[in-house]
Amino acid sequence: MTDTDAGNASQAHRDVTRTRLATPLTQYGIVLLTVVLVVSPLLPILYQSFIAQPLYRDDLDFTLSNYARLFVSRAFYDILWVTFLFSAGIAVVSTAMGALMAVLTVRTDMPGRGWIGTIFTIPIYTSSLVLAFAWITVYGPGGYLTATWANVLGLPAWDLYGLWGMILIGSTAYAAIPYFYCTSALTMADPSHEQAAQICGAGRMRTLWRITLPLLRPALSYSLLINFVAGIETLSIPLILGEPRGVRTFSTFLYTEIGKTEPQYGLVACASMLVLVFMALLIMLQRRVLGDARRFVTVQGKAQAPKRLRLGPLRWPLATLCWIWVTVLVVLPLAGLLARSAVQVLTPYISPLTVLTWDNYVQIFEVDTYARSIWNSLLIAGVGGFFAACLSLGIVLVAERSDNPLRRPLRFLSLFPQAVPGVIVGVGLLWAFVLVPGLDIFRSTVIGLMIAFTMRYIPLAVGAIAPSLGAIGPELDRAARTSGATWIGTVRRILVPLVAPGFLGAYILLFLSFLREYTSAVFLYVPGTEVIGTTLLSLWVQGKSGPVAALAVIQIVLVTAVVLISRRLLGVKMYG
Amino acid sequence: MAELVVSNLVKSFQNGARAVDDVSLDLPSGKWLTLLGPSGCGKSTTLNCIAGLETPESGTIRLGDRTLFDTARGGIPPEARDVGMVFQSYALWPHLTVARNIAFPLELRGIPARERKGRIADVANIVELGSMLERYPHELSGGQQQRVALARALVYEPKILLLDEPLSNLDAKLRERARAWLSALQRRLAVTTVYVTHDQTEALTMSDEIAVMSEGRIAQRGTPREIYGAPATPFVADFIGTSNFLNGTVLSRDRGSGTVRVADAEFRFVLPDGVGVGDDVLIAARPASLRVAARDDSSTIHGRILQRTYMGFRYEYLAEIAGAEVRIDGAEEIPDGVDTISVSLTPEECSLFRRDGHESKRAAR
Repeated sequence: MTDTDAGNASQAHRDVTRTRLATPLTQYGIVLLTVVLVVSPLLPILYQSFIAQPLYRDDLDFTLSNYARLFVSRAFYDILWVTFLFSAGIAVVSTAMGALMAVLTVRTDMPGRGWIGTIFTIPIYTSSLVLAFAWITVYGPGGYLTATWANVLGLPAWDLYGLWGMILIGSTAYAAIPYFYCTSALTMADPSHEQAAQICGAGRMRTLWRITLPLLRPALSYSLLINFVAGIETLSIPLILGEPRGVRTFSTFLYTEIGKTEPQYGLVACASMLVLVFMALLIMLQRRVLGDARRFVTVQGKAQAPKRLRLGPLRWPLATLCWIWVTVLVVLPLAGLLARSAVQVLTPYISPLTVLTWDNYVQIFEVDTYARSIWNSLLIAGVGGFFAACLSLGIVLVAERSDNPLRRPLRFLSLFPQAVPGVIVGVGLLWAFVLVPGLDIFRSTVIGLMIAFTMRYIPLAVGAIAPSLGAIGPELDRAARTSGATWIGTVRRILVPLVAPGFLGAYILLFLSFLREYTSAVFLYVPGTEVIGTTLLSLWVQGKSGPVAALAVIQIVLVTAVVLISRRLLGVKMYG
Repeated sequence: MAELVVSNLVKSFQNGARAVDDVSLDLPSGKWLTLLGPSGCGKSTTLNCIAGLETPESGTIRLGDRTLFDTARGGIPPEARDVGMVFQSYALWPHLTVARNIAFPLELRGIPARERKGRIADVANIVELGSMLERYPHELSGGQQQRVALARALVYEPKILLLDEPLSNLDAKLRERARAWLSALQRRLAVTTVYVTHDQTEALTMSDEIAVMSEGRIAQRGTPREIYGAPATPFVADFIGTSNFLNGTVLSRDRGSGTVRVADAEFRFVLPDGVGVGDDVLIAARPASLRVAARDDSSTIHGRILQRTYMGFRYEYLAEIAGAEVRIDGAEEIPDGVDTISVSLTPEECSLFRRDGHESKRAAR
């Protein structure tokens, strides 16, 4: 700032012109960035679906034959049917598990309910990939407990591979989502509803059945939809447990087709388009259900300590059942994984103590590719997660706190990636990087993966930031504007400092998600840009189950550390 | 300080209904104008349009020699209008101290730090907050917060001060003091002020002029005395000072005044233009102009007692007179068995309107 008045005036004038441009430039910049990010994986797929040859070739014919071929393909209908069975199975089983566990831990006096609930939700902090490895280690055909059961005890063994095993593991992996929705619905619900029923003469069990459970209906229907979508998206579980038995879902179909030496690009693109349309419809349905749920559940806003239902003589039997439940589904597989990482071979015939070794961990840190994947994951989570959080904050600010004419489309656009399965993001971005000259730099560095992960998790971060911004009264921005601040100035000096805790929460959420993400990376990574998830997969394919377990344990330790640190130091609560 | 001229301002809700419907105002430099009306009457929307926080569809807003908004060219953004505004919630930024809150507008205007300090100290003195500068907003009482908000709005000497119900979050006692204090401060600084409130006492005690608003329009514009003494419509009469409405009929008219029959009594009233013999009229009577009559004579109105309330030092009666319910104060108790009441009326303290369907409904309330 100059000291003279004239200097001040002209400086002020320049400031005004500069700041006048700064606001629309920033706002439209954020809009443009979001459009590019969301659309860039989708356009190549749409484009490819209408051409006969692979899209990177020069001689292209536009055609509808891809769609025609897809619709008459028997295999495709089989894949759709299996995908539907798998997703519906996960949705139903996980929701039933989550709701039951929520009622038991929130609304009854079952002993140990706190610990049981915590253990029940652990799988959401690991990834479904790690959970699948853990299950195979313990319950797979050569698994520790399978072998004990069948060979040592001589009882008929089970087959974990195939559709039922997939549904069981998928449900365990995703049961935390219905659990969180139901616990929040149950703690938010006004206990006077139940008291009123009891005064009307309903017994405790009848109250639970007739009043408490119906109050959960919105949480249940929302969970069903979310986990149905999760079932369509998930790659690891069908890939590891379905492929060996020829059970193929949409995700694994895409994965194996692209992995072929001569992939049928047109077919892949068409199938992706159909799934995208279907997912978009589902998400729209989900949005409507959620709208209802909000009206239904949070009417009473304040969380009151609900009166717990006395289980009486059922207390201990139920608690025992629940302990068995979480032990079998969660504790044993993870313990098996941990054990596997520390031994040369894990079987009931040899005492693990005689084959103890650090070898698996040493391998991970000594082989460049493996070690690099850990650093890459941390780099992507730390740096990419930060940029993704910044972009999400920008999106929320423009969508919720500006008068930009595009704010409503922006809000829709920022939530759209929910409808795009990770495999499709990977394929689409891969094609975009190949198709557009100059974008090769993204493919050969981790930047491409950061872009893919950001696209995937923008809705999550937007959803985390929006409520904390909403809690800041709009009069605070208005006061800044009338005091003389531009939109940018208001954002920078008032809104950003105030929304910082919400931003930090979103960043941690993104960090954890990026650390575990692999589905969109399986097509995008090249030597040098491996991440933990892709390395886990390739180690698995090579049959190196020791290093797989070691790397999975390392991932779990990293995630746990971040969760604990953020809880302790920052008071940020994940999920729920 | 500058003169404010608003003309033909129109602003619609999303559903198309008009929030502000053809409002025109002019306010001389240094004066205090209050926009008074019930919630939803468009007073806050009008204020926000002046501040630039909302964009009207049409009209013009001028402040001094600057056009803040006109239909053709649109508006300049709020930050470029040089207005000071105090919000109902005060809108103090919770992450900044009092001093930083007040410094904010000065920093934006590139005032050097040394001068900033002096000006903050000056304005803090004016609003009597000198010792609070290093505190955070949540450490202040409601009254102190309100004064910080005022200091923040005044510190850069804006051309106009906009106040959106700034006293409504204070408790009754504090509000009374703040009223006198705020009004004196405005006179001293002679800052052009637009004040929005739904509280008639605030409007009557603090304003140079009042614009009573109803359904997006200005129902009446005038000094507090004019508004209170000669309400232009039954709505204004009703809104300013609790009024009783009585039904009457004009029996005769003699130039400016005439005889009006109310129930079984007759009174001489000043008649507005356009009211003729035989017309039904609505008489707005202040509570004080209706009294329980000590004696029964030809100038008392008789009514039926519907309900009696003991108020401590007086009695309040709800009575039906000529088809309308009215509240009447009395010093003496009417014995329980008696269900008729004799009421005296002071015509000079009443306003008289010609009746139409809409207003008779209001009177029959």
